[in-house]
Amino acid sequence: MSQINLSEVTKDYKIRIRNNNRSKIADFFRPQYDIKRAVDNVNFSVEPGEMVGYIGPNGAGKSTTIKMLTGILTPTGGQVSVFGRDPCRNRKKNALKMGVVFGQRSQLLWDLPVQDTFELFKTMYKMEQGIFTKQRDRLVEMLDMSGFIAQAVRQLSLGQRMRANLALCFLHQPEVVYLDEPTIGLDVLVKERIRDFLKQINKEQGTTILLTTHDTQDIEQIAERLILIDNGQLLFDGGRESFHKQYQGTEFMIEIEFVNPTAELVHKNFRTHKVEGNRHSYWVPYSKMGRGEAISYVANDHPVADIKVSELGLEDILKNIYAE
Amino acid sequence: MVYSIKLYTQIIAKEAQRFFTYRVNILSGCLTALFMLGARYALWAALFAAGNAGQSSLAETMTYFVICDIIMIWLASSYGNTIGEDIRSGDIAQKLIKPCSYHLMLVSSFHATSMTSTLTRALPMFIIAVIFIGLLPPASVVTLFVFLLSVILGAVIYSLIDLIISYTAFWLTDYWCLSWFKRALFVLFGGLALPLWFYPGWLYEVCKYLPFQYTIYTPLAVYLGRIPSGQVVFSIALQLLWICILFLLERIIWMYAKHKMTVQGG
Amino acid sequence: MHTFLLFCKIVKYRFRSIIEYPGAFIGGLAAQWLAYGIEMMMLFLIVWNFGTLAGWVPEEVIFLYALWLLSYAIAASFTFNICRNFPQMAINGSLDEAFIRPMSPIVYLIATTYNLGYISHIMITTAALIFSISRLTVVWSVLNWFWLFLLIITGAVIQGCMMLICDMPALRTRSQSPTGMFFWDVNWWLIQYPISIYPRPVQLLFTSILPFGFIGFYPVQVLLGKQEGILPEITIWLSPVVAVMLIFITVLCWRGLTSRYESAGT
Repeated sequence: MSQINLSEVTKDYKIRIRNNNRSKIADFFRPQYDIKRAVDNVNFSVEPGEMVGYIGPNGAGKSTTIKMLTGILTPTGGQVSVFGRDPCRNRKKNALKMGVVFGQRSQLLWDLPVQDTFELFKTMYKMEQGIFTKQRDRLVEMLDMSGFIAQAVRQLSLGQRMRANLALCFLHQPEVVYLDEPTIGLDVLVKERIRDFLKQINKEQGTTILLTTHDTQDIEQIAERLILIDNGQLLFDGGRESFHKQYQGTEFMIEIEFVNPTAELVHKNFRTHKVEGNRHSYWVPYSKMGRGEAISYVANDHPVADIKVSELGLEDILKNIYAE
Repeated sequence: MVYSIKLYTQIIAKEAQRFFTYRVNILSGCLTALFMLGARYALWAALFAAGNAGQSSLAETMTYFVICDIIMIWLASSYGNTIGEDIRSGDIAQKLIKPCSYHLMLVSSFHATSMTSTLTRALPMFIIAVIFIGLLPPASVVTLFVFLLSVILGAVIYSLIDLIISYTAFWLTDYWCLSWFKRALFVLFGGLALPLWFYPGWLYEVCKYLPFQYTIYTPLAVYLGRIPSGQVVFSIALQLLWICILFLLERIIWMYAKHKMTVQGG
Repeated sequence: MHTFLLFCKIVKYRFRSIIEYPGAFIGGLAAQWLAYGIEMMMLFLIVWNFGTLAGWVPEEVIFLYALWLLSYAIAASFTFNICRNFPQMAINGSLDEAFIRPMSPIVYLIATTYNLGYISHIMITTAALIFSISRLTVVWSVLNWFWLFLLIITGAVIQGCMMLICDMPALRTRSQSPTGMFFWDVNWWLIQYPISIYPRPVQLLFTSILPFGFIGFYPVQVLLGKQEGILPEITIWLSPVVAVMLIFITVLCWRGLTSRYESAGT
């Protein structure tokens, strides 16, 4: 049995519609609803220790899925199970083994030092003193928090607060952690530190991490597996490599600037895109030739000033998918 | 001047529009007023059923409270909270450099609230009181006019005291307790909870030398004929005297407050 | 047991947050002592002027008022903040947060919004209780002390539960609930006096659907040796039963509301 399992999960929201033609009284006593399907027949499962990037445009159903996994929402149809249990019915039991960070929403006690919130969570999650001290010290070290752990939360920067929130979420050594846009609004350095932290803690403690994000760097660096959802429907589920393979097209482009004007290159794998004096560009299919092979072929025969291989980045791929 | 009036009416119109979009506000305002009235009436009817005190009557006491509540709707502004909020958030600096008086803006927005409260609270309360309880009319038309004059003077005194108390927010880190202090002072010395003629002698003497009773008690005493007609002029003169004293005090403290803000950056 | 310890710990941290701002804390305390002290002094004066209020001497009226305020303060320290936050809770995600904790969401919410400011009410009402008890002619047996303790607790439970029940719809509608406003108005304006001053239908209402009478009016009669009210004698002993019933109703309402909780969108 997988750690997290969703089978044919559907979630509908009821949206109150106000009809101007009906009387206010009728509207009050018998309100009319419209049904919006936020998650539509989604299936996937996650094994212990996986790092999953859960991506999709705004309003795709990501947060709804996470809320069903945490037991906040009940699915309209299908089965959700976490640790082999229904998260709604076993909310308290599951809560002991999971950690959640909802975007920028802080769980810290605003007027008190960060360490006080840690103490509180120790009691809340029934931790033993020894384990607590060890885990806290480890987290403080990994996230480099020793400088501000004794400061009141209201005096911390956004980056410091986010790190403290993350540490708090991992404090009770959860087996599963849900992160809803953990890097939103942070600067490059803090993002980098958070990514390193997530990779490290996943390796050390085997924590399963499911994160939603709009930052392609997050996905490239952390997520080994991607689940893509749009309009509530699952579009892709698999490794990052196979995601690239599936969506980036079949060819890459090689652009060359020769030292001297050169005649059009003739090679069975090269399909000419443009030739203008010493600037050439060609399409090359991945299946026939690797990028390195193509570059060395070009550079061997002619003196080259500059060479560039371009393929669709994750950002471009996602843009294409979302736009459809 | 024309500009000020225009601004004043505009702020009031905006506020009224905002208020009336929430029908719950209207209902709750109405209910609050009626509960207050009902509780007051039940309380005083039970008291007067047991005996008499202060050479008063149930009708006189109820008239006192109903008119007092209606006037208080116009006076119960809370400059303290607004000024305190503006200081804490730093908005006061922006508001002070606007091309219109900060005080005018404050007064306008409070009067806007009072206007809506008059419709939702004072009006139903007044109608119900007239029909079911029976209020005493003023002794004569002259009394009515003197009463109205006295109310306006009282309102000025009230606002000045309120402002002076509010300015302490410039020196305090916290301001919300100010409105509690203010209310306590007016309840004790101003006759908000009990007409002054029920006070024991010593407390009545203390009240005489403080400005609080001139805001609400004096106009009501004029209306009910509690002040002999010979002394009415004297009472009005005292109100004017207090206005002068408090106005001077208010200006001086405001100067210090503004100075403090420009020097220390609020 | 674990829940209780955790609750205490959360409250301990709330307390430490508040004393981070000692000036505001002490200022608030002083303001409320003054405001409620004067409020009670005025009530005493009112009744003192007439001798009795519906058969209650001034000390008895103050005793009733102080008990009402004390149990209100105890209840509100738990429920005031959470009730005020109900409309926002589903929108800003604090309800979501409560659901991901390894404890009951309502306990978590009440603990994290516990309001220590009511300590000032508790102090001033204790002073008023000591004053009135010392002047009452009640024989203070062990049983009577126990009943006093019980009636404070049941009064707090009744008010706390009614506050929660009346404000809870706001969780759904996401705007302040009219029933909540109704509760505040009634509790604030009508309940501090002996309810025997009201017409019979109102008394009946306060003994049945809206059990405000059980907060203080009925149980205090046990101590004062009174037998008032429109229902049989036994009514004065029923407060604990009403309190327990209200706890059940509150839990049912909470379950009903949250079982069909729809978190704020995507």
